[in-house]
Amino acid sequence: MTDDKRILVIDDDVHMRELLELEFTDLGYQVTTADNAFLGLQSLKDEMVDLVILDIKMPGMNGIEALEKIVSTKRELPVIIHSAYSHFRENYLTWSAVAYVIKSGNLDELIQTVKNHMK
Amino acid sequence: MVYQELIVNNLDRILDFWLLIDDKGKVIHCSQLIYRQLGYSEEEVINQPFQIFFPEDDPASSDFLYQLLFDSYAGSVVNQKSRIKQKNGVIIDIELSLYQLDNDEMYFLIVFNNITEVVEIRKKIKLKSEKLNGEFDLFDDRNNYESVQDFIDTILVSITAGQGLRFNRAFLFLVEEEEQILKGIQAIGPGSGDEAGVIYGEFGSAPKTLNEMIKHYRHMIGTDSAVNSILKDVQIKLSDYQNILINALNGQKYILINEDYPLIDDPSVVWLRELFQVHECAIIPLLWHGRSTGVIVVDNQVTQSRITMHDIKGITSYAERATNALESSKLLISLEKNINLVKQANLKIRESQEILVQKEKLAVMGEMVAHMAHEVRGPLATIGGYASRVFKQMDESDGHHNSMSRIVETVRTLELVINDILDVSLPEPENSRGCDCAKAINKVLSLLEEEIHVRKVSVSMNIQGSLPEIKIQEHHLFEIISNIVRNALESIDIDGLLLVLASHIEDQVVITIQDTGPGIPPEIKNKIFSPFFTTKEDGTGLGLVVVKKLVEENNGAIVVRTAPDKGTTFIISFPIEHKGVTHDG
Repeated sequence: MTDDKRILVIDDDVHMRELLELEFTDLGYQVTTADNAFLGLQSLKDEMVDLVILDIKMPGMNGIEALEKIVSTKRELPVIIHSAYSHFRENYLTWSAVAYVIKSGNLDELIQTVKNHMK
Repeated sequence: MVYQELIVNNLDRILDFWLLIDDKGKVIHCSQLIYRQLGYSEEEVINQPFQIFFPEDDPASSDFLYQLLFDSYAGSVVNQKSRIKQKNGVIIDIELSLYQLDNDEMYFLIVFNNITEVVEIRKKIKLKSEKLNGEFDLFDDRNNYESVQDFIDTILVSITAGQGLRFNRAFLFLVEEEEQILKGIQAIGPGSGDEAGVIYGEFGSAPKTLNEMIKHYRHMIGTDSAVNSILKDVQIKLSDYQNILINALNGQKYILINEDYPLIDDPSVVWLRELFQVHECAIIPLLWHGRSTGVIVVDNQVTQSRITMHDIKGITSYAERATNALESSKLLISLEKNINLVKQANLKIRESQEILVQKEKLAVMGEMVAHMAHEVRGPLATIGGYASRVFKQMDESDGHHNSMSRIVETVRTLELVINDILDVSLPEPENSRGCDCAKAINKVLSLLEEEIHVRKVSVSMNIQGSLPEIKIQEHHLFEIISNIVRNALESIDIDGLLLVLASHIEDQVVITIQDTGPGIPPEIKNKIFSPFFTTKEDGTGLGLVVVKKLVEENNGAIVVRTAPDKGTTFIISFPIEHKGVTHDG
């Protein structure tokens, strides 16, 4: 039932990107990855994406700037911030994301959050 | 040239600091004081541009002369505030005047005064007088009473002593500015003829120095003696001009009351004579810098001898000196009080500076910790993520199943530790129940196995069987125990014994961790729980701070016992989990 749902993972850490790709593919999602925000925004134009998992600290354009651009063009698209920083959760600039998940070896929280926001 | 010589030869007689410069701004002559007080030598001054005297950072210094000339009226500038530089670099405030001397050639004369001291002294005087004004009313202040009391005793004893002014009795009244009254303060003298006999007898054999007499007087008479009870309740309004005492106070002149006194029938004179039960007495005003501060009433009630003009002169001049002493002592006390206030203020300033520095340290540390946490948490998430992927797909019979489980668990613990440092509170429903401390101790020791082995430390563990669970999150307990054990290992350094005990005492679980290290020196013992205090080269000084915080947050207690060469023992206790909530531990 999730076959037609596509997740875009934007993260500069190759290991995390591949881990998420593996996990969410296992769960039956289509996964597109981008190693920086520019490529991520490009993918959004090219493909139909149902949810974005977005890192914050990235070279070039950071996740907070990218979030602003995504929200301004695709208001309905759920974005989940997935960062190793905890304190940006208190920063209102991240509040337009549907959720803020701190990176952890235990992916349960992220998976549950994705499920909750996937229509 | 004649003009110049004339100036140079005479200026030092009338001016302190002066410079004679030519129209190019070069110094031609200057006063001797410039060499003596500012520290410059002749070579450094003569033929040099006069700007060398002005601070380099002074924007006016380069075109100072022209600026002054521009400002001047009819060729002179008077008392312009500026600053100059002594040879040793100290900047002083000056008032500067510039005069244009127009003769065959053009000269300028710069004259200046050092106003630094004047400025400072003015400030100090203003400050002091404000404070003194505010706290002049000393008699309200019980703390100061004792030393003022010394003066009062001295004054009264001197007036009545045989070696002194030889009056029988003396009564002191002082003005209370705040209440606007004249108030009876203290009296000295025999209450009756009989008492007089005793006192004079005592004084006859009494020591002869004033100090000894005052001691003696205090020994003999308490402040509640008969004479004191006479004036104890006397309070006269300063506005009661009809009153004879107020009259003497305002008139600032003595009044001798006897049958020759013209107003002998005046009600207040009658009142006074009745009050003191006396025919003759003298009222002497106490004056201080033109202000009346009180009166002394003296009489010879016991011996009935007449008060002579000689006596009056004696007491008047004595009263003057006594008032000076009294008021000066008040001022001194007040000054002392002010100094104490300043000292306290300084102390407070220093304390708050320390707090600020501490806060600054914490803020910098906080940023650094947040950054470090990010740098560690990212890779840790990857390790943990891949590890749990592998672990989930692994069969339990797999030889690496246990190792993989350890990796997953340790990564989780590390993540929780990072969260704790950053004070992130994540929902931890599964951990909010009781915690098994034996498990936590074993976990710590197994993680430190390698270090224990390398340091050749023998571990002796004694954990009471079936310990009740305690109410603390497991990773908190882990953090507490591992910090203390790591400290113990580092303090043992090499070859030693580590003792870990856990037992159930009343409604507490008590964990004791003891080492055979060198112990904590007494001088630093009370600092070990302070943030950023560390004796280790690479320590953060946060280990024991976290320990204490976590123990206290979980309603526990922590005690340290240590002595040089006797090792260190940490005893931590936590209340046991009450069985209100059922769980399947």
